[in-house]
Amino acid sequence: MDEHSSDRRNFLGKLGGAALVALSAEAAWASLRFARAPVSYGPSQRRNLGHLDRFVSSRVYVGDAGLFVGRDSKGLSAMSATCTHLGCTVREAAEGGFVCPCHGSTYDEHGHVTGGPAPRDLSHVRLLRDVRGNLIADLSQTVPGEARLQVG
Amino acid sequence: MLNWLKSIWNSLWRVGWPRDERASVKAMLSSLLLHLHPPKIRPESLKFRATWAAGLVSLVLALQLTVTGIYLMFYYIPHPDAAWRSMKDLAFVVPLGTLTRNAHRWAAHAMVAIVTVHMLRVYMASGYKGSRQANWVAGVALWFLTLALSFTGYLLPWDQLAYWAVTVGSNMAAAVPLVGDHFRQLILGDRSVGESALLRFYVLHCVALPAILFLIVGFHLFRVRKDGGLVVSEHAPGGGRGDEGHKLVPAWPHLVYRELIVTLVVTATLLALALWLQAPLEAEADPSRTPNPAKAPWYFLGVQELAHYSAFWGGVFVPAATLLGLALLPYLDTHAEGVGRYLPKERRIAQALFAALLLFMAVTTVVGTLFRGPAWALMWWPK
Repeated sequence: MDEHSSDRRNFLGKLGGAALVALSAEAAWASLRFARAPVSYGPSQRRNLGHLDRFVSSRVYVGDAGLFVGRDSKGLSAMSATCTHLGCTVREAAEGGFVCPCHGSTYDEHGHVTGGPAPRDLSHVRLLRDVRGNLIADLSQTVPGEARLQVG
Repeated sequence: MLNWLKSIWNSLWRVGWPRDERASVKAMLSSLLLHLHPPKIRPESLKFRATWAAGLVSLVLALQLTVTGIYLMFYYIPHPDAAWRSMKDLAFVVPLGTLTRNAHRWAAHAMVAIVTVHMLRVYMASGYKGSRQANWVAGVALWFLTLALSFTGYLLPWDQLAYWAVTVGSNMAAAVPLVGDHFRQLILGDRSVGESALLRFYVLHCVALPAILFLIVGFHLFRVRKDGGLVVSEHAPGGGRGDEGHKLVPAWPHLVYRELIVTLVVTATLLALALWLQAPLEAEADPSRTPNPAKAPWYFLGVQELAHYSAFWGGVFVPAATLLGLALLPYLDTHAEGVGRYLPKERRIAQALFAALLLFMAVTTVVGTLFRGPAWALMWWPK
């Protein structure tokens, strides 16, 4: 075997190795991409919470949307009941405010953290009203806690 | 006719029932299952104290889980509308359905415990040194797979316990910096635990993870054989290099019979447990109501206890660092002293460090299991 043929073998071997590495990287990327398809059969992020007439008291819990809908003189607001620590559903505490049953995070009635491991305040989501007078919550849009949907 | 049937039988086994040492060696070499064993073995390796039988018990449990798991798959439907109801069918309609589910549940719990004990024993005997470095890493991978199988299996009954344990667990994954939320959605296939998550966990639990597990088990056993079986102390007769001049005994019947006895004892114990203790099934999963307290299975309660202080440090950093530390151990601790003995003087510090890690895991698990009440508040009297 002369010098050139051994060079060529060496080169082809390296080329093959590089192709294998490239193929593995491509396969890994393709698998990840495949697993993150934008298909979801979960419930819509836009939830119909029912007719506005339902929300006359100062706080109503809508379980299937995981929201506390509050009402004050300025209008309606919707606060998420999902704890910002690890995603359990908080409940109203006997002494006012909210408490998470999983790891004991506590929040005041505006959703500000008052204790426990929660890293952030409870989030508020955007409220809308449809033409039939139903209250709609858009779970994908968070708003400041002071935001209100004005109602008649 | 009889001869014809006999010829079929002989075509399967090739070697008859071994009646002397020569025939037993031949038998060990000619059968697929038996050739995983050495034809001859050191008598010391047969003693219970040499292995605590932990590796074999883990393997037997994995096989029991495969068999009971396949049975459960005939009735289980991986969809939120049907999953919980199919558990009820198993409990009330399917003959021996409860027994099968109980056996599957208790074997899974036992496997987590026994694989951990196996790791402890191998650590104590320095069974990760020299040529065994990669096999220790394979063992750590098997430990992780055992936990991953438990975690994915935990969701399948689709009761309150399952739903909230996996909600909490997947939100820990979301605490990973930068990629956390993508990682969580990769596992769940959606924004929250639902139809996609149940299907993903089902496929991982029944197909992907067991396939990887048994591939690594094959590697694990092969390497044990190639490394000459158990580690041997240099002080033991014939220890150190080779087995020259030391009396070996044939694996048939000495090893094979012992393995059969262990298998029978494990099976009988599992059956007794499955008859005695009922696997819990809570109310159907309800995303709007979190039970109080919401607890993961006991082997994750240590992590949940840590996560209660901080989702990232307790739920991600400490478990990941532990796993990485265990995997790198054979490449960090390369001292050759004390191999093959459980409590050698030369390894006091290494043993103390590992004991501290185990104690830390045990204490957090016990606190999380027994001393945490509603809203994860401390309570001094276990309920």
